Amino acid sequence: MSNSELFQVENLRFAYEPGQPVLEIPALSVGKNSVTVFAGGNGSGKTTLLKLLNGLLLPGEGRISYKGRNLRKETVLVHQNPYLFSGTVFQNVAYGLKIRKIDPAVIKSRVSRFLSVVGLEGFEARKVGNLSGGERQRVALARALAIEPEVILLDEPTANVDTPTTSLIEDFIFAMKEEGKTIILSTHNMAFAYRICDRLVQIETGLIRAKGENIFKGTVESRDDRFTLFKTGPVTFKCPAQKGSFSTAVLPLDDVILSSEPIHTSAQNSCRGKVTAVTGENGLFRVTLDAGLIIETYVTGFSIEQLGVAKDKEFYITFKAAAIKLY
Amino acid sequence: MFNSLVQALNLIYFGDREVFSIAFTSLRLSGASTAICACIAVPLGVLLGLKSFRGKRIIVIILNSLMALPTVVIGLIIYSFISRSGPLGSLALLFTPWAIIIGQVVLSLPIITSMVYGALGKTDRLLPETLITLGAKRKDIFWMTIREGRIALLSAILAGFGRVIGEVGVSMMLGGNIRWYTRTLTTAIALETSKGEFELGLALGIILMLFAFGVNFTLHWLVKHEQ
Repeated sequence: MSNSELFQVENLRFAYEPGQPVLEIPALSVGKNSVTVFAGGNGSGKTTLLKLLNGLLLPGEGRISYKGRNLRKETVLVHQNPYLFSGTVFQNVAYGLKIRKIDPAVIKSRVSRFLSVVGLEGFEARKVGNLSGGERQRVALARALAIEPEVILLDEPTANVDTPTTSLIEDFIFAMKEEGKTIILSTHNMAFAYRICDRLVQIETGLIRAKGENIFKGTVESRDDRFTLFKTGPVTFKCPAQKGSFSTAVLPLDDVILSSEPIHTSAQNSCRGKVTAVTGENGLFRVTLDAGLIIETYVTGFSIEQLGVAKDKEFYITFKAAAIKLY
Repeated sequence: MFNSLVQALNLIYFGDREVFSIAFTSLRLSGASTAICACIAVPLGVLLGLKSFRGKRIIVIILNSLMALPTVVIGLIIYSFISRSGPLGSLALLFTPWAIIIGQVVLSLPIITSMVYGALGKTDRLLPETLITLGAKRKDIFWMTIREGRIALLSAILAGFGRVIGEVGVSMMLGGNIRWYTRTLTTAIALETSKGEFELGLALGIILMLFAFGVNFTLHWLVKHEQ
């Protein structure tokens, strides 16, 4: 296990009722100082996985290790509909510090610092009963941050909040990453997931789904009435013309065509890359190519043979502008 | 009847010494027994609510059944313990205020414990998880559960108080209805009514009802104030 990995999940099986597993994860690791997103529908097992990582639930079978040890004290979970203690905002945010017997003066300054991090300056004396849904969510965030955990687990942080609060939460997640924290969250809001994730893990009925898309971080380089040019690393993609600011391009693995010669089609994007890995997955092969940035695609076993796909060989990668979604 | 009522109100209004002594004895004994009982029943109810262990269901069922225990049966059992020939006879507790307090603690223990346990079952299941994830130890979880459930706990305690201030069996059998000593509102009402002294009985009855209403009003005020 490398030093940059915080969590290592092995052969995990979890069931609330005997014989009805809700989560089965053969292997999963979460890197340090990264944003990992568990995406999936209701009842997919995302929340259960977060609770397991927090140690609120214990795995029925398998192992979850934290920094290689069985210790998860450095994590804190913020629930989807967080429970706020009756009383004031200050009492809530200060709670974790109070039980750690931290000096009252330090508590006071830390509470006001973390309230301003979540955009609730001066809310100390407010009663929690008078807060809106978004404000409650942010008080819970401040309460979790105040104890300065290494890992922050967020369960559906945008489920009950409006668009401005969602973008505030996005900014906050980026700010926390800057500070060196590791953020793991669950969501079913895919646009939000694509924008903030370093790594996206799709969970469906308790199983991790095979990777379905390439996610590229970058910026819009230029745009005209035909295309939006999105620059990611040394490569620029042609995407459908559209307005708005975007930080993420999503390209489904199935939409990437591999060829040994350049092909002339309607597809607007083409580049050359070197195969770095070929792995069999669910009857298909996932081919990873380095074209200045890493692009992955699925091909059949027949294509592997036909094209002679193998490590270190070079191929052309082609995909349509319309296949790329910008977020 | 109307005449009796006027005379009863006169007794209260002009501060009849005996009426007030009886009322004060009732308040003092019920207050003491409820306070002692709360110190045992609240932690017990909270532990039952927070912990899961083998036999918990049985304990809850027994507690619920004990809520229906007749006061005369409690009186009888405790009598057999503290009467001169009983195992605790040497303590000379029978026909003292302490005997009433012991009986009333036994009477209200299952009520307050069950109500505390029931109330905690209704508190948000996220509370313990939130506390654990924030790093709370067992002790912190225990205190915070009490703090968050304080209105429910208070109503359980007040319900216990309501039960003991209105009971006759324990006070009569264990206290003996001794004038100026162990005579409570309920035992006095029973006595005065049997003697045909309706005025005094009615006056005491009105005070008892005022106490009962007072407890209810306090409860409603607390709940409203909290919201």
